[in-house]
Amino acid sequence: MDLVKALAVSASGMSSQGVRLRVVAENLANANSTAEVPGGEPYRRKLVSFRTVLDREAGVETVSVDRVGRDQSAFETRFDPGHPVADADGYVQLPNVKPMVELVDLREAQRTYEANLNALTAARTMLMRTIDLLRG
Amino acid sequence: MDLGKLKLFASITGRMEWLGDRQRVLAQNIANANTPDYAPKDLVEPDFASHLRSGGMLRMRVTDPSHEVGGGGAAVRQETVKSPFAATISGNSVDLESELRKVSETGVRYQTMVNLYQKHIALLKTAIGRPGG
Repeated sequence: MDLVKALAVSASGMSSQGVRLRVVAENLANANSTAEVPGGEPYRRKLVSFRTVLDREAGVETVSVDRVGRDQSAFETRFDPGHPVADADGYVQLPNVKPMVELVDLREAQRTYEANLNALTAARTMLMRTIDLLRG
Repeated sequence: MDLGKLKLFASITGRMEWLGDRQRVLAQNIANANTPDYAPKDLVEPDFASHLRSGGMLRMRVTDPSHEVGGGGAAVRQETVKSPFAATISGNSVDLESELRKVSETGVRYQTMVNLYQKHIALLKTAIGRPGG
């Protein structure tokens, strides 16, 4: 039944956006995580990409997380000779996480999640109306 | 009595199936709102005039067993819609607002069909002498 399939599709969209929210939270939490050893790499920002999956059994196109990649942009450096992981010249490398970008991403994920939730509620209402026909 | 044999119930059920199918397609679009290179899809609206022309209602007469039955193509056809809104850098052109508008529109139409169905059941019940149900 198509409405039940619609529920499954919306659920897949919600879980994918959930993964995205998790990654954004990881990025924000690690916005200040420097390397563990002097001269090492600090936390590198994570990025989520999605892909369409054809669910052959149900004949619907659901969505899933394609892969969680790493942002290859340059790290920020700060002159701080007293820092435990500062290199020989006194510079510390900071993660390439920009809180503002993360917050925008967070808001977009939230918006898409809500849209999926709305689609799910609409499909569910339609299903319930059909079931109500039995009581007629 | 098989309600499906009554033309009216058959068309209401057909319409409900179409709307349910469309709801699934719209749910796919919304779920893929952030998938790179995804273009939104929609179902082709059944149109009475083109339905007539394609021979859905007016079938050719079969007067001999060797005749082919003409007309009556696929009931629904899925097509990719060109979104008037600019696509994002990732190549995705799903517009959440217009998808949600379609979702609620589909819901309202479905509700109309369910109400019609109920009305006609009540009508049948009146005819067999059980007014109201």
